[in-house]
This record gives sequence, structure tokens and C-alpha cells, in this order.
Amino acid sequence: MKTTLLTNMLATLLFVTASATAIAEETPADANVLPEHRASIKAKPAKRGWDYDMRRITPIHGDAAAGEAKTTICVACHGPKGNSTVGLFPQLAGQRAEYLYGRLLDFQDSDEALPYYQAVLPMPQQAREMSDTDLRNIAAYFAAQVPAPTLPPTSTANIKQGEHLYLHGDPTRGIPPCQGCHGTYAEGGPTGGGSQYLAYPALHGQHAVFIADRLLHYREMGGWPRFSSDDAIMHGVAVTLSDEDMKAIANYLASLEPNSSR
Amino acid sequence: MTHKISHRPSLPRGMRGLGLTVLATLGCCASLAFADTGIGVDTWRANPLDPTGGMQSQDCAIDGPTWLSPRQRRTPTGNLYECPSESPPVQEINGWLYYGVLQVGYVGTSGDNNALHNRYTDWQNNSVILGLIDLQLSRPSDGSYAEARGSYLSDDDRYFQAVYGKAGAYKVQAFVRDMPNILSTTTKSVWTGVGTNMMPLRPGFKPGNTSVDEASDLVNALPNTTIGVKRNKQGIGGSMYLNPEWTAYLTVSDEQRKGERPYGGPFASTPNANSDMVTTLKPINDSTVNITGGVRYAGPEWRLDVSYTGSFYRDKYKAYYFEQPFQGAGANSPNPLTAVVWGQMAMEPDNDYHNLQATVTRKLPWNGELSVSGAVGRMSQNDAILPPLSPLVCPSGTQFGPYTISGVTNQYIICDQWNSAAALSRPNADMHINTSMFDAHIVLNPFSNLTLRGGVNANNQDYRGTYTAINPLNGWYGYILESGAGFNYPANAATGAPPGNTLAIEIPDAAGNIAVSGNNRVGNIPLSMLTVDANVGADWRVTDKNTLGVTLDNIHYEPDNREVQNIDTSSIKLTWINRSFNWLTLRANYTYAEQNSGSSYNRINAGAVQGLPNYTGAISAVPGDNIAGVVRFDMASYTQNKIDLMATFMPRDDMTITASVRDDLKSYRTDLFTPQYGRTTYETTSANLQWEWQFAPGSGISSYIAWDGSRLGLAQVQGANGPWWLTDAQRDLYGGIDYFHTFGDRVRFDFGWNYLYSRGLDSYNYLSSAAIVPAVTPTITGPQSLALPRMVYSVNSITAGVTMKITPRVSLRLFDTYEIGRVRDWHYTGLDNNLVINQHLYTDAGPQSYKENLIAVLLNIKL
Repeated sequence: MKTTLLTNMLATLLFVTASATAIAEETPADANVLPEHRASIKAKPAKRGWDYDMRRITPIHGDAAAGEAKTTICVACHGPKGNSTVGLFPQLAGQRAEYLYGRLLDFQDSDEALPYYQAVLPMPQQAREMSDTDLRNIAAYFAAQVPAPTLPPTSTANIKQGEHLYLHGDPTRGIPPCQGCHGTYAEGGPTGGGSQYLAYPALHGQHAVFIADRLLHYREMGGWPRFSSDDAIMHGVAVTLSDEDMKAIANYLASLEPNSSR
Repeated sequence: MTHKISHRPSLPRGMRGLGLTVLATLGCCASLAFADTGIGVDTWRANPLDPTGGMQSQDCAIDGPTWLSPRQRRTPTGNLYECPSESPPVQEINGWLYYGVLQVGYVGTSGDNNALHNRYTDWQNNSVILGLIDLQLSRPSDGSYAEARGSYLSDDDRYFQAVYGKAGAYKVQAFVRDMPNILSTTTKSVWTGVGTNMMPLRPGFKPGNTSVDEASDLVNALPNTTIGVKRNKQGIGGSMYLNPEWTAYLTVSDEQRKGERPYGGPFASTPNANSDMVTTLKPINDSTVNITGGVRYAGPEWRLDVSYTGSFYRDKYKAYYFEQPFQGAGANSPNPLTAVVWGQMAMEPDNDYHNLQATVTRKLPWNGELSVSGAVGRMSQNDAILPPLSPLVCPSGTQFGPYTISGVTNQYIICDQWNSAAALSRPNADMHINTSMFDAHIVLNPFSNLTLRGGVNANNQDYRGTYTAINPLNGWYGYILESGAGFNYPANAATGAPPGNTLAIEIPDAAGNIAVSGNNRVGNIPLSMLTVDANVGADWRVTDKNTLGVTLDNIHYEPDNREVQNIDTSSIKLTWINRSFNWLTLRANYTYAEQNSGSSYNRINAGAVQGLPNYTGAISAVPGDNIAGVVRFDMASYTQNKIDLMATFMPRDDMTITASVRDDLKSYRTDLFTPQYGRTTYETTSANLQWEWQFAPGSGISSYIAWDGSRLGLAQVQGANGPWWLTDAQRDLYGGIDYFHTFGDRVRFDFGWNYLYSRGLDSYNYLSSAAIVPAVTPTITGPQSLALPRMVYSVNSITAGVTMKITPRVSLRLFDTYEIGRVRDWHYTGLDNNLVINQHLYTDAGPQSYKENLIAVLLNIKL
């Protein structure tokens, strides 16, 4: 009897272990065990719908060559090597890898029931085809590309206004200067400071239509679940901006040379 | 210590900012009315259950203080901020956002519920309490907001306040607050009518003729009663933006105090069977009305603030009267027609205080600012002066005596000459103190790393009102001490002290002069004084990591009523702040100061007979060299060295270690007088070590240990039997641990242990025992030392609690606090057994040790 009981227990244990291993192998590798860098920014616990604490992101490293192999579908919208020629599809070339990785996570985890999901189609579908390693590689690939100016600002009349708002903000209306996070030359957050600044994207030379659209999204997201702590920051900034402010800032940034400095 | 949350719920910040600014302003301006020491106290409505007024029960915002940085935030000196509050679950109805909290619970107590533990609380055992009701509403469309907050622990310990306003427009606030002040739970009162101003003795006592044994038996049979004072305060106030630059504000409050407190009485210090000493129970029944109002202007260049503060104190009673139990001095009068059976004690007079202040501030070039303030004020008292003797003490048609007064024998205190207003120099006090203040200070930043600052402040207090006690009915000077309670006492055979009396009377001779030498006080003491403080300083950021500072200060002080007329204190302070390492902040301060009051002093005490123009007797020989002259020693010349060293270590982002050491040594100039006398040294020292670790949002542990001590040396205080020296040493030790941890999202555990030990020791050195203990015979000569028993006060308390979220809106908190307090004070030796010692009567045995446990269950509901 004892032998039979012991044998049954061992058999059960082996079965469970094998099953668990099989399940783990069938599921994409990152479903149950988060990579270290994703784990570092996964909010504990998730609060109010935003899932990622970008304040704790660690530098993203990847295989750019492997990433390039995965970008065949990406360049259809975002252009060769990430230099987009369509205003609504952002420039990816030369962008911060941490920012790109974060955006891809956003697409991958977005809730299909929400309007946000519809608004960013087909990105969620594309991202869900990728593993976490793929996301890092793609981010590393585009970060390594050289951005080229592709589209002019939609208007030049408000560039000065946009420059003033970008560099100085408007204290009387509670508008903070964008350069405080995105850099004097819109080159992105400082690299010598804390790791959270790595995810603050470069904006110089970015399409005006895209930037205006993103600012509008941040302002109007309101009660929508926010993906990350950076969404919370940008919502607080965007609610201070009028439609004209957004267009002015967008045109100013579009007027800047990518990788430019003054 | 329990975990405290420092932030209020984050309703729209614009609305909250105005409210806090106005509240702070009200508190600031109210504090100008220093005639009432209660102003400024309890402007923050809370209670011992929750001193934070609801903030400590708020959830910790685990997202941290900012989305911009993952690190714990620190103050400029390197200390960690506490976890900010989670934004409350705001709901909307008809355009209004609202949030509310209701906390109800049960409190149980056990142990020695005595006054030392419960002085400012009123814990009722087995009581249901309203821990907190807090409702906050706001309407974003127009910036309107409202708040109601209250708590009820008992009828004597409760508060409620309501606020309504509109951001950028106006705010109105009203409150009521009842607070207990328990002074004793072991009082045995020999009187009836306690709390009123007429206190006859209980049945069984024979007024003026109770023996010590009789009094002991009667007092020991009395039950313990609780005495204290209840403070009830109401107030209403508001502020209004007249336009974006001009603001007007006004607050009115009224505080009533009612109850009773232990107080003095007749004090015949000669320890023999025929002198009595009685502690009484003074009635408290008064009110104070405070008014503060003004206008404020805030512009781009100028700021202006003009305010009025008034405080009006009214006491229901002018004096209180009590029957005396013992055969007091009156019975020893050689010719008593009646025993002195009643005593009288005066109450505080009604007082009116007015103050008008204006402040102008202007921005200057070099990022500077100049601020100039001026104020004038007046305090007035004009009560009817009490006659020297009450008719109760000295009934008409009676007299006491004979006595020898001013060398004249066979003199009587004829009651009809002393027991009415006709015996006074004038019927009313007619006293005023006019105050004036001028203040100016300037700050400049000529360079980004250099700050220059300077200021001058002058405060003048002009005492207007002189009263000399001259009895128009007989031409005698002075007044009768203790209202006659110590009329006469016989010689002391044990000590050899001669007979005497407490008649501080001077009889002029036929020429109208006071020729016999004496030093009785026959008039009031002028309280005029002038203080001028001038200082200059600079702060220089030498490098990015180092800042140096220097401040020069001089204070000139002229008190009219003191032995020394001019005191100057000059000091230089050096400061160094170092942040060379990201994980360390060092601060060091050194101060050197000198106080000079000269070597000459006024030998004539203020208000004494020796200051009268018709005094022709001898000026007292060196009054400053005896015990009575000790008061001057707080104004003596000295040099001072003071050093502060503080270090804040940040070994991790979430950990802080703070260490500090301080020493302050005053070395007095004992070489200025021969023989040396007075203070020789006064030194205070302290050391502190704190550790804090906030290892997770809503979780942390901290501990501290601290020590401080002081040592005061007095040299050659001349008594009747030679010199002796006194050393007073105080020592305090503190320690504690505070731990709190949030498990998951539902359960929080907190624990705290705190310990305080305080010890005082007075010791003496002398060349002859007769200087210290004259009654001890034979006299011991030669260097000797003696120490009084140590006075010890210690408190050891431990608190443990758990808070559980039952639903997202409902949580339950259970906590228990156990506390042990120990008191050892030789002043009260023997009173535990008997409150009657010879003819000395005490009302209670003094502060008592205790052990007390308090347990509470609180249900917290987010509305």
C-alpha cells in the first residue's frame, strides 16, 4: 500500500512538473516570467489602469540586426529605416530605445474594449506578434538609425510662438517649458541623470501632425486608463494647452533639424 | 510615534492653497496679541486620539510623491519626506465633488487614570466616540468649496469646525472647541463651594480653631476628587479678496475657562506649631475675547499689511475667600478680639489689549527685499483696587495688636482703618502699559552665491501707572501681607528666630519721614523696558558643495525694574554647510557671545520703601549679596561659547541617519564682585542619533536615542551663617522605535515604543552646616557637601495597532497603548500618608506615578 501511495505521489509530482514545463514552453517566454527590465517597471500593484512605472526603467539593449529583420511590416508605415513620410506616422529613426520599447509595450498590453485600442490600430495587433526580445531588438534598431528630415511644418506662422512655449512655457497659464524634460534642443531627456529620463523621447524633427495628435490624446485621455507614469505626466501638461498651443509647439519641433543643436 | 501622513487630500489645489494661506495668516496675526497666552494655541483643531486632524488615517500614496522621479524625496537638509496621502475617492453630485470620512469607535481604559497621564485629555472608559467626521466639497465650475470636520471624545473634549468659501473670492470659517485640563484626581478639599469665590470649611472643621489631629482625621476621611479647568472656545472669521491685490480679513473668538486649580494661601514659613500654611483651590471663571482684523496688499513691487489685534480678558471674580482651619497667627495676637478665620486671595484683573501694526515690504534690486514694520499698543487695567484687608478678615469694630511697627510700640491694626476703599491711595488701578515696536530688515543677493542680510528691531514697553500704598485714614505706608493671615508669630525656640509679623507697614515720624531702616515694598513695580536688537550677516556659497555664513548680533536691554539698568549682549555666529558627498550633509555652527551688565547695580529694589523721597533710613547693606538678591544673576556678565554639529547620512535612497551634538557654555564674570557670588557657570549639552528606513511605500522603521543635560553653578550665596554653593544638574534621556508595515493592499501594522527619563539633582557645598541646615546641632564646620534626593520623571509607553481594509471604503483599526509613568519628587514626601503636617495643609499629594492601558476599536468609513 505504502509503495503504491508513494508511487502515486511521485507520479503526480512528475506529471504536474511536466505539465507546468510544457505550458511554460507553449506560452511566449515573457507571459509568466517578466524580463528583468520589464519587471523593474511593472507597477506593484497595478493602479488605476496604468501598468508601468517608467520611473524605474533600465537602459534597453538589443540586437539591432535582429531587430531590423523584424521591421519589414514597420517600414510600410514608418518609412525606410524609420524615416516616415506620412505625418500621422511618427519618425522612429534615432528615437530613444527606452521610449520606443515603452510604446511597444503600451500597444501590446492595450485593452481591446477601450476606445484607445481602436485609435492606435493596427499597432496592438502588430505588437502582439512580437516577443519581448523582439521589442527590444526593434527598439535598438530604430534607435541606431540616422534620422532625416522628411516633412516640413504644417505652418510657419506660429513657429515663434511654439518656440517660446517650448523653451519658456507660460507661467500665467500654468504651462511648463517642454525643454525641462525633453531637452533644450528637443533631444530627449538627459542621459546623465536618473534612468527615468531615458524614456523621455526626442522631439526634434518629429512630424507636426503626429505631435499635435499625441498632445491632443494626452489632453483628452481623461479617464482612459493610462499605460504608464509618463502618460500621467503628459496628461497634466496637455490639459494646460489650447489647440493653438499644440499646433504651435508641433510646428516648432517639426522645424528643428533632427539631431540639431544651437 | 505612529506613522503620520503629512498631506491633506488633494482636492483642486487652487482652492486648498487659499484656505491654507488664510489660516496661516490668521494664526500668524493672532499670535501678535501676546496679552493672552492662549492665542495661537488650538488654531489647529485636533485631539490626542488623532493630533493630525484626520491625516494620519489616510492611505499612503504608493505611487510616491512625484511621477518625475522614483526616489524618495528629501528636504534640503537631507531628511526623507513621509509618504504623501493617496488622493481620496472623490464623487460628484450636481456639479459638486465631495469626499468624506466617518470614524466611530469604542475606547476602553484601565489603570491609574490620574492627572499626570490625562492632563489634556478626557478618556472615558467604555465610551463610544466619534473619532472623526470630515466632509469636503468643491465645485470646480466656480471654485466654491466647503468643509466640515469634527470629533467627539466626551462632553469636555470635542471640536467642530466648518468652512465655506470661493477660491480667489472669500472664505468664512467657524469653530467650537472644548478642551479639558485635569490638574489633580486626588484632591481632598476641606472646603465647600469649590469653584466659586466663597469657600467655607466643611462641617466638622472649626474655623480658626481646628487642631492638627482633628484636621488630619477629617482630611484623611475625605474622598478623592478631580479638579481641573475646562476651556470652551468659539470663533468665527473670514477673509475676502477685494480685488486680486487687496485682501481683508477679520476673526473673532471667545474662550471661557471654568473650574478650579491648586493655589497658594497663607504662608508662614517659620516651622512651628503656631504658624500655618494653607494651599487653597482657586476658582477659574473667566473669558477672553480676541479680535484680529486688517487689510493686505500684494503687488508686483510692494506688499502692505495693516492689522488690528484686540484681546479683552474678563474675570468673574475679583478675589476669592476661604476659611482657615487652624489656629493661625491671629490667635497669637496679644489682644485678639476675634481669630483670623478668613483668608483672601486676589484674582487677575480685567485687561484690555489693543495693538495696531503696519508692515510694508518692497522688492529691491539685486533680488532683494526691504521690510519695515511698526506697531503701537496699549494694555489697560482699571479694576477697583481691593482694600488692604477684607471685612471678612478684619471685621469692623475689631482690631489686632499691639505690635511694634517702625520702632513704635503699642500699635494696633484697627480694622475700620484697613477694610474699605477709604484705606487706598486711589480707588482704581488706572494702569497702562504702552508698547511700541519698530522692525526693519533687508535681504540682498548681489551675486548668485552671496546673500547679505541685516535688521534692527526695537521694542519699548512703557509702564504708565504708579501706585504707592499710603493709607489716607492713618498716614501709614505699605500693606498687610497675606491679607492678615500671618499677622503675628511668636519666637522660634528651636532656631532662636525672634517673633515677627507679616505687617509690611512703615509709620512715618512727626516730620513725615520714614526714618527707621527697612526694605518693605510699599508700591508697584514698574515694568518698563526697552530692547533693541541689531544684526548683520552674510551667506556665501563658496563652492557648489560648501556654504559659509556669518551673523553679528547685538542686543541692548534696559529694564527699569531690575537691579541692573543696561545689559548688552554681543555675539558672532559662524555657519558651515557642506554637501561634498551626495550621501552626506554636514552642518556646523559656532557662536561666541559676551554679555555685559557692569559691576554696579541698583541697591534699591523697585517699589521698596527705600526708594521713597521721604525715606531717611539707611540703605540696605549690599542686598544683592544675600538670597533675596539672587534674581540679578540672570543678568550677570558672562562669555558664551556654543557649538552645534549636525550630520545627515543617506546610505541608501530610502534611508537616513542623523546625528547631532550641541554644547552651550556660559562662564559668568565672578571677578566683578568681592566676594564672588552668583552664577559661575551654566552649561547645556545634548546629543542625538536617529535612524530611519522607508523600505517600501507605506512601510518603514525608525529609531532614535537622545541625551541632554544642564548644569548650573551658583557660588557664595550668602546666608545668615556663611557662604555656600549650589549645583543644579538636570539630565534627560530619550529613546524610541517606530515601525509600520503595509501587507499587500489591505493590512497595515504599526508599533511604537517611546521612553523618557528625566532627572534633577540639587547639591550643596558649604563651609559650615549652619548655612544649610541651621536646626542641626552641633554645627559641623569644614568643607561639606549635601545633596537633596533626586527628582525623577519617566514615561515608558508602547503602542501596537493594526488597520484592516474590509472593503475599499471601510477599514477597521484596533490599537492598544500601555504606559507607565514614574514620578519621584521629594517636595511631596510624606503627603501620601497625610495631607496635614503640623499646621500645614495641602490639597493633594502631588503628581503620582501611574500605569495605564487604553484600547480602542475604530471603524473608518469613506463616505
